[in-house]
Amino acid sequence: MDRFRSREGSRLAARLNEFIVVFVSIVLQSLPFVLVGVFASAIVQQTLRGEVVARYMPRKPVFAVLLSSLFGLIAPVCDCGAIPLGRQLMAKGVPVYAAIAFLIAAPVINPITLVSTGIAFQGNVGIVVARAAMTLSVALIVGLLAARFFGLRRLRVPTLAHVADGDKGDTAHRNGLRLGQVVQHATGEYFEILFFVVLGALFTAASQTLVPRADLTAVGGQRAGSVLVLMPIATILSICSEADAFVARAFAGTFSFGAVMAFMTIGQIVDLRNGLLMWRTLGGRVLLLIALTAYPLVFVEAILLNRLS
Amino acid sequence: MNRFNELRLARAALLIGLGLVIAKLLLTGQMHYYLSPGLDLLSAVTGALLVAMGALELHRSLQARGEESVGLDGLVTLGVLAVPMLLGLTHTPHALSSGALGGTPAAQLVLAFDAGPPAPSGAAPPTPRLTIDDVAGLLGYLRQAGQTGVGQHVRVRGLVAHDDDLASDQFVLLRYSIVHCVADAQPLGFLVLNAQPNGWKNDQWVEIDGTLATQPRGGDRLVAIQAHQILPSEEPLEPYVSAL
Repeated sequence: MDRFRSREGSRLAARLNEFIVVFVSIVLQSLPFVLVGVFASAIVQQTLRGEVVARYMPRKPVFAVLLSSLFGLIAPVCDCGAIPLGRQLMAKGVPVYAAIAFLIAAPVINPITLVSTGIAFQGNVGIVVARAAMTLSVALIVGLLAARFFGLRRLRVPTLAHVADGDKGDTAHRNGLRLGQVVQHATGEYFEILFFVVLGALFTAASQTLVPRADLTAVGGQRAGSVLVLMPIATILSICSEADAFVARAFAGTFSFGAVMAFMTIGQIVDLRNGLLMWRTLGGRVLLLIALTAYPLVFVEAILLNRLS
Repeated sequence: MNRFNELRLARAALLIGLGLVIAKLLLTGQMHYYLSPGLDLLSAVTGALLVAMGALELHRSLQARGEESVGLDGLVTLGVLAVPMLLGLTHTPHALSSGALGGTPAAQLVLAFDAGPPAPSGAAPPTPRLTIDDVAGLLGYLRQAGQTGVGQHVRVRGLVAHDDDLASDQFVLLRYSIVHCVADAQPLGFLVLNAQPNGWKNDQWVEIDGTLATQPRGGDRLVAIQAHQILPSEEPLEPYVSAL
């Protein structure tokens, strides 16, 4: 009996350790990438005028969504950093549908993620292109649906801490970029973003520790079943966009090609870690639109890939 | 008279605290239980930046005129953010154990050689480019030599993972590989042959001295280690195989 208790006790201690190391590691890993995002946001806030956005943002939603999606190609932000930057773009007048397209596309089509995908799959350009194309297709369709349903209406962008500090960004650019104001803005936003990153990390760590994945992998070889299984796993794991290709590569031997591609696509669009922050930034209705569009679309694309491969 | 600005003071404490957590983890080597060693420099820069931002907040809190109280929302936010900081400061981390497999049988994790004809018997294995003194070296050698490496002397460390499908003198040597952090950990398994039956407990760290071997299973040829000596081992300072 004592031996049983001791075995149970050590098992519980191991699970608790697992929960803590996964939780703390997600937070630690996110810290630098969120910093990049909030500083990029602060620089945009200090330098980009609302009038410039209004002048150069295409009037037609299809072009605005396309432009915002492709902006990710030059924005050096992963999934953690994209949200503060996207939020700032909305605050500067970028229509919500265009910002949504940016938020979906940027974590994947940024150069760092594309290169890491290529490295993970031994330079297979086809996989890199397929990943970017799947993500862009979701960004475009969700963006256009958002334009249809929400139009030019601006969402309630959460109050940023720096505003309370009297940091008037839209007038600051007239006096040039001020480092002190950039840091002040970045610090205020850092806390707001980090709050949701920590909550997301808690959910992710709990899911990773508690949800058994063994039974799920049993259907790995089935064309449709494997896609249906890997997509929620991607949502639960919530792996950084710059690292998920290496994990997906490990699944490639067990799961179908389409399932692996779906894993890399949906994991950056609907994930537990950033879900709360997206909800806070975009609201429940937009989040629902993204999830309800992205899941079936990625599923269909993955099935098509399985048929073609 | 200037008064402390509570909100900024609390923010400053958290920023500096997070910076100190990073410093502590890097200095004690515990960071490698959370993140890949490839991220050490980035973490160090982040820690320094956080401390600098914290110092600025502290300076502003001392300069601020009038009191800005934290409020309930602020308390909740700061309380949530304090959790990872306190855990990072107080928790002594250990590497993931076989419990993190989520119920997957250890035997299913054993690596297999790429398909192809087996190495001709009697041929000497190629000389390794790097010393094979742990799993990272072994993985490099497997990429270099494939099945022709069978017979090569190896030394590796890992966790013992038993499985009912294995013979009594076999177990799986388990290690996890990570790209960025423990959340993306993936298990790696090597079949250990010639182990003392029931001699090793699950999740015990061991060091194995042996030769690279292969074991057929179904249509696969599993990567195995013919053990010459198995010794109990301490948990290594870098418990995960880094893919960076």
